[in-house]
Amino acid sequence: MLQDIYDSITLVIINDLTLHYMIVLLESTSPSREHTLPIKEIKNIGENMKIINIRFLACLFACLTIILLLPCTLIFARNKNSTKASREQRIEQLEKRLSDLEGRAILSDPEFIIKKKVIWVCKNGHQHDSKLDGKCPFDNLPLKKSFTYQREKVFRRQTIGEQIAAAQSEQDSKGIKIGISGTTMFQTPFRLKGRNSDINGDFFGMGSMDIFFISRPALYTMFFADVEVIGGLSPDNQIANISFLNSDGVRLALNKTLNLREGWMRTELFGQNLIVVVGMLDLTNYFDLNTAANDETSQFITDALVNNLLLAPPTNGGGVTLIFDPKTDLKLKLGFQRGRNVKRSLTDKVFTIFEVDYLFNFFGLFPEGHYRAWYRLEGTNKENMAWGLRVDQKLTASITSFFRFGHEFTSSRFAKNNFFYSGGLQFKTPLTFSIRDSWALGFVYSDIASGENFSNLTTGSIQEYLVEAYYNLFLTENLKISFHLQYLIDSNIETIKRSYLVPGIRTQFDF
Amino acid sequence: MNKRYLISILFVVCLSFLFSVMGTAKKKIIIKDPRSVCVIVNRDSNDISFMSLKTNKIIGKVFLGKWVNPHMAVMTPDGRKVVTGGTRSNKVYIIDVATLTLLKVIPADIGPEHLAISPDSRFYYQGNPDGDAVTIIDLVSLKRIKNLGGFAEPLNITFLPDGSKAYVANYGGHWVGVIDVKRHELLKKIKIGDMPSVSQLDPKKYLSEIKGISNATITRDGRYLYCADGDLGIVGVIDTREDKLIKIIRVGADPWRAYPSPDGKKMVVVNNGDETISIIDVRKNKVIATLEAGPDMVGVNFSHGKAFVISSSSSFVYVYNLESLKPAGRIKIGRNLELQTAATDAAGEKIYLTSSRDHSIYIINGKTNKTTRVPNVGLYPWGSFILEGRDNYCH
Repeated sequence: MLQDIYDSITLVIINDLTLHYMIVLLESTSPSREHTLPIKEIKNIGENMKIINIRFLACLFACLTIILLLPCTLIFARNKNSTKASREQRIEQLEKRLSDLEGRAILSDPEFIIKKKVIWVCKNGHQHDSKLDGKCPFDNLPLKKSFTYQREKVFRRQTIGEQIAAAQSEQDSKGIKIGISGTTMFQTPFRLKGRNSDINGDFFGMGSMDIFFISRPALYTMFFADVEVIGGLSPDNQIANISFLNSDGVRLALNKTLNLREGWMRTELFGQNLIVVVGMLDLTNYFDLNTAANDETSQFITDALVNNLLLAPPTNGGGVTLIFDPKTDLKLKLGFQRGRNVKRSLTDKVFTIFEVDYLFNFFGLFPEGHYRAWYRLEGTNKENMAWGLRVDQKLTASITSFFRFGHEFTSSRFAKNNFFYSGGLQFKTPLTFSIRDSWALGFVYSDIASGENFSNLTTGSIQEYLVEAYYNLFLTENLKISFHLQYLIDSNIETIKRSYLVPGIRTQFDF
Repeated sequence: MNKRYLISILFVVCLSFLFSVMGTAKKKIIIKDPRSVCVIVNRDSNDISFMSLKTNKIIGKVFLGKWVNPHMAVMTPDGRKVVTGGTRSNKVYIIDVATLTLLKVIPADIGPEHLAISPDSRFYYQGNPDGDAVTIIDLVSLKRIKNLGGFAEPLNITFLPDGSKAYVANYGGHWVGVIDVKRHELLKKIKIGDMPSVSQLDPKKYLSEIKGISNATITRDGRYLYCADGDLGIVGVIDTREDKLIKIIRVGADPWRAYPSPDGKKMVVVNNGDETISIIDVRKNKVIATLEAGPDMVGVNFSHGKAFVISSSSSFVYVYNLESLKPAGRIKIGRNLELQTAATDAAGEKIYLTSSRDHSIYIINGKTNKTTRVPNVGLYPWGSFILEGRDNYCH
């Protein structure tokens, strides 16, 4: 059957080839196309030839085909196999290169993390990853649970940028962070009431710079030191008042001399609910806080609007502050510090202060408000005891009201005690020019009957009224400028009534 | 006789083949109810774990491939597929939930992270922050429709409940992109707030690094979007009917994003710049409380009228009473942990918090604030997802 098929195919091929040959032959021998034999006749000739030579030609052609095509087929097949193998090899190589690129070249090496690991240790020091059956394999002694730290490879690819950032962050966390904060203040008091000999239109300038050092020597523990230098002249040097027109002037101990203002260690205990701060402290950083009137570098500059005058902590010195903060609406604080003029022992005379801080929002009628009450004493003398209240209550998201009250007991030599009142309003966006600006109005009323700071009093009490307004322009994260206007309405210190208007400008930078 | 013999043999062969196929198919079904599992995306083991909500045991994992580092995993609303983007492989992965098999891997753009699925489970929008593009995938044909460019570090994507529009938050800009889901085209760009003119004085901040919008948080009714802008310290409110900014609310410094309370009345915004939270009254569009919180806050979940704020680096979850608007303590999860995001179950009873450093999930009982640890869920778990859960989000 196969032979029949072969024969018939061969015949058709031979027939077509013969015909083609005849046509070409006739065309080439004929002088013109007009004399060319008609196709029909050629076909007849072909048919005759086919009949005569068909068997012979078929055999011949088949032999020729086999002779010619077989080697070609073999060569082609070999080449084909070779190309296929080569292509597969090449694909394999490319895949490997791609895998390498994906794994290493494009990004970085594998990431490693250090992990805390629970281990089980035998008495002989052998370490096991699991508890086994509770006994060491060699001596059958009980296993002891312990832990260690071990490096662990993680299949995380990080870009070079991420690795650099992580390394920088790690370096920062290990080292000491240094920050610088500087303030300059210029004030020009204009006399409205007082003696002719009192200053008027004079120019005062003060500058201060703080360098902070912060490090974290252990978990939940922080070390902080603040080295400060203050220099310049405050209007308080010339204008007798108890509110202090420049808060920096109050902190000025030695002009243009570097001194350690604070240096303490802070740690968190009992589930981080109790904060303990030990060292050279500034108690005003922990007590009598106020969100709207507590920072002389960005809010009011009048010292009586920074802290309650009757809080009267000793100058910065050795002390301890304990803060119980369970992160609810209640906080308790207790502070101890070396008393004034103590030279022999820290326990000679201890300044003690206690404060309760409660978060209240009038049952949702207003946003949050902080209500604080404090009580302080130094020794057992009545005149060294005082108490105070402090409130900062948000009226809306952009308006905050604040209020302070202080009551200091006096000795029996005086007819009445000392009192202090201050309050005001702070405004934020949208009531400002720019979104991070703020401005505020504040008033102070002090009624002081006695006090060692004012020992030059001869008769009666000091009553002083002051108003301050400021606008704090937030220029950049590191630079703020604020414009202040203080109005010392009435001060009867030294028995002479004085009144001053004090415009000022403050520049504050932080890095 | 021969014919009969052959037919009998053929019949027996066919029957045995049929039974074997049926047997294999039955064996492969691992998850019958997709609502019964918590999906956990493990960044370093490059897999997705499926944890039973009943037994708290891992019932299966799907390995995606080496160096994939998946970021966020989401189950389609129909519960059939889980999708995730491999941040380092620049591909997206589609998993069949029932059989826990990897169905398809499709190329995305550079650094795929956050994603969203259309409510009808048809389209999968994958944000590629490093490629400034959103890859759009048809979940029926499992083919990429297009890579839609023109964004600036697109992070989270939010679909409207009717699926007509998708909103893309641009962390590398201060605008939200609106995509027409029918045509998959960027329709509009909605600006959130004006740059203050004084910003020109601070190139160090504004030209070196940008903290724009990480998420457009939709209200429970789908009407408004709350978009926190980190650099500006504001939350812009967008009306989704008109795609118009209707209100700017000042919040704390460097707000990350807003999270909606279950009753839809409040939004909690975490401000990482000053470590506070701002609670916004949605009806009044006003901040009604600003409360102290912790560092590096990465998420907020809700349960029993309380907001649970996750502070990543402090290992604490801060708790706030949403009725009294006061802090209600904090939960110490552990020590030296790196807490990531969490999902709340459908009943709003339990919170499934991922903790990457100790490769664990912590289940917080919303009523008692007690925690249960499920260790070894995978390496570096980065996020969790529960189908029909109350809170599902990524960083």
